[in-house]
Order: sequence, then C-alpha cells, then structure tokens
Amino acid sequence: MPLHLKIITPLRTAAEVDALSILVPASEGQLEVLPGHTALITSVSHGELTYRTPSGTTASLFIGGGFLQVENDIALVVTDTALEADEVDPTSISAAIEQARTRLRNESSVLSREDQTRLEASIAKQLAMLEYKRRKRTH
Amino acid sequence: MANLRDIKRRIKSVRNTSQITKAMQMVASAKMRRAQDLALRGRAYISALANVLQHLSASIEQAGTSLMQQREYGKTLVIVINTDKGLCGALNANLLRETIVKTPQDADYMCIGAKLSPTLQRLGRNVRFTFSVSDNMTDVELKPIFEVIRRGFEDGTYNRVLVTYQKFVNVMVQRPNVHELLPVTAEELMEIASMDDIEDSREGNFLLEPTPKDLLTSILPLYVSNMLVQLVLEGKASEQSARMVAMKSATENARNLIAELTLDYNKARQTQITNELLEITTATRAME
Repeated sequence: MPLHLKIITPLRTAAEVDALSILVPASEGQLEVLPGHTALITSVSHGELTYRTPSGTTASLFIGGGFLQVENDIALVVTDTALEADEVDPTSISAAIEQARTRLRNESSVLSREDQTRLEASIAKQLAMLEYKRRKRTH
Repeated sequence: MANLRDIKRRIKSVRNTSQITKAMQMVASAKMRRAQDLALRGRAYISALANVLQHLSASIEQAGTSLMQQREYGKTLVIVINTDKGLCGALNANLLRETIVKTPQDADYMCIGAKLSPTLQRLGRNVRFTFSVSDNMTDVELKPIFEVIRRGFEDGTYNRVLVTYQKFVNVMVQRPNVHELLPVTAEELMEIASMDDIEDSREGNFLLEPTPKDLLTSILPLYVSNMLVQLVLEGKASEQSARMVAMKSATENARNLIAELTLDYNKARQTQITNELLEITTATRAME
C-alpha cells in the first residue's frame, strides 16, 4: 500500500498523489516517510520535498515552511507555498530579494523587530528557492 | 410638444444609468470569479490546519497557549467584515441586523470595510477601529490587524473575539454569520476539520516534533490569522456576488423602464401627428 501525499497551500492543493516514499525538510533535519510510518506531526522548514511515485520516478517540489502530519499512510503537508521547479521565476525572486534587502538597509530604524525578522526569513526562503531552481536546472 | 421632449430626455438618462450599472455588473462578475476562487481554495487550507491542530489538542492543556484560554473577565471584541462601497443590495443591511442581534451591547467593535462603521456608531456601539482592505487582498495586509487583535486578547483586554461576516454560499445566497475567532475551542477545530475529506481515525498518540509546545506556538497563531484571512475572503466573495446580482437586476429594471417610456413616447408622437392632421384638415375645410 503506497502512501497518499497531499500538499495544501492557501491558493491550491498543490499535489494529491500516491508515493512510495517522501523526503521532507523537517525542522529537525531531513525526514523520510515510508509506508507504515508511525503517526507523526512535525513542523517543516522551507526546502525541497522529494517523493517517489509508484512508477519509480522521483518528483520534487519547493515548499515553504509549514507542517507535516502522517497518519494511516496519509501524509498531509500544510504549507504557505508549494512550487514546482518550472513555476519558480528566478528574475522576480531576485527582484524581491533585492527589494527586501534595500528595505532592511534603508529603513532599519523604522522597521519593528518583528518586521525585520519577517523580512530576513523571507529573504532566506527566497534564496533557498533560487538554489532549488539552480539545482534542478543542472540535473 | 414639451411632453415629447421630456420623455425623450428621460429615456436618455435611464439609458445612461443602465450603461453604468451594466459596466459595474461586468466588473463585479470578473472580480467575483477571482474572489470566489480564493475563498473556496482557502477553505481546504484552513480545514487542513484545523485537522492538524485537532490532533494536537491532547497536548494543548499542558502547553497552556494563551490563544485558547477561556477567561471570565474582559470585554468582547466584534470584528465586522463589511464592504467599503455600497451598491451591493441588502448585503450590509442583513449583516448589520445579525451583528446587532448576536453581539453584546457593550462590546468594542472593529470594522473591516468602511460602510457599516458610521451606522454602528449611530446605534451607540463603540467602534474602536476601522480598516479598509483592497479587493486583491493578501494576507500581508491583514497582518497588522491580526496583531492588534492578538495583543488585545493576550493582554486580557478582550476575553472573546467574534467575527461577523457574510458567508459565501453561492452567487445568489450569502448568509450572515457569527464566528468565534478567539478563544479557539476544540469543538470549532473538530467542525472545521470535518469540512475536508481527509480521512480521520482519531487514534491520537502522535509523535510530536520538535515539542508539542513549539508546534502549538507556531501553528495556533497561523491558524487564527488564516482564519481571519479566510473570513475576509468569504466576505469579499459575497460582496462581489451580491453586487453583481444587484447590478444585474438594476440593468434589467432600466431596460423595462426604457421599454415603457418608449411606448409612451410613441403614443405621444402619434397623438401629435393626429392633432396636426386634424388642424390641417380643419384649415382646408375652412378655406373651401
């Protein structure tokens, strides 16, 4: 019995597929979920989620931070973003990073602590997205 | 004849109005499709979050997170999600009625959407804040609003946060509804989680990483803020649907009015011609 993987974001259900195994960037490190995994809830950091389909191929998605719940061979990923490699647009991301950096540099006095951490987190996430895209292209 | 000119003028003005309502109908229906889409997709996300949270409920009591705390003291904060602009039928009036009936008199009010704020004030309700959000709203826009709510709840000013909004059922039907945003209750989580088709065994005994407390402190605010986003999205979808329907019936009314006026106009024109003919024949008779 394969696993059932479901990735849900606010904008769409990014994936609803059967998988033999799922590799997730959990907050405590990479985590592989195989059929028969014990019931688990863990937070997930941004990074690449890879899964093996029943036909033997591997597929991957970039996911933002969120949560993973495994129960009865159903893996539910709740995250704010989930993009496939060809949905990642390097130019707009680079622009967004640049914009966030300028804001951090120029408005550091007016920004609240929360805003600063939020900006930094979003830069880190977007850098990871770029890295993911770069890796996919070289393969 | 003055009457003829009057009717003609009225037809023209009605036609102009109908062009405006027609345009507004088109705009609303384009916006509606988007808003509806967002609202329906958001439902899956929020119920997935509720599903995860529900499984954490066993550890909630030990973790003691403030967003689920039931308190005796404190006031009620009511968030009224209404519209910025009118011309959307009875949407705001229905919401107002629901709000007045279902919320305590002495509560503090926060309006998202400017339309109902003056009305509530006139009715003697204490409106503390009024916000406007754009039609293409993103969750970033609601973040400061959520922070205000969260701070108010956590420092004990409020012990209950209610949201009144128009729930989007379908294009023709929007239902005014009251949702208890804070404190988050286990029953609510169960209800929202069951909206989704995710199978649920309710076995419990989950392995929790990193720690139950860490999980809860990140997922609970996420859930509440996304709930607020979701409710605003529902409100937006309702607004655009109601406006489209209202504008559609306005355009139809205008068309009927034009038909009636055109009939009157033609009648008047015929009378005028008959009268002229009568005058001519009388004149020729007199000359014979």
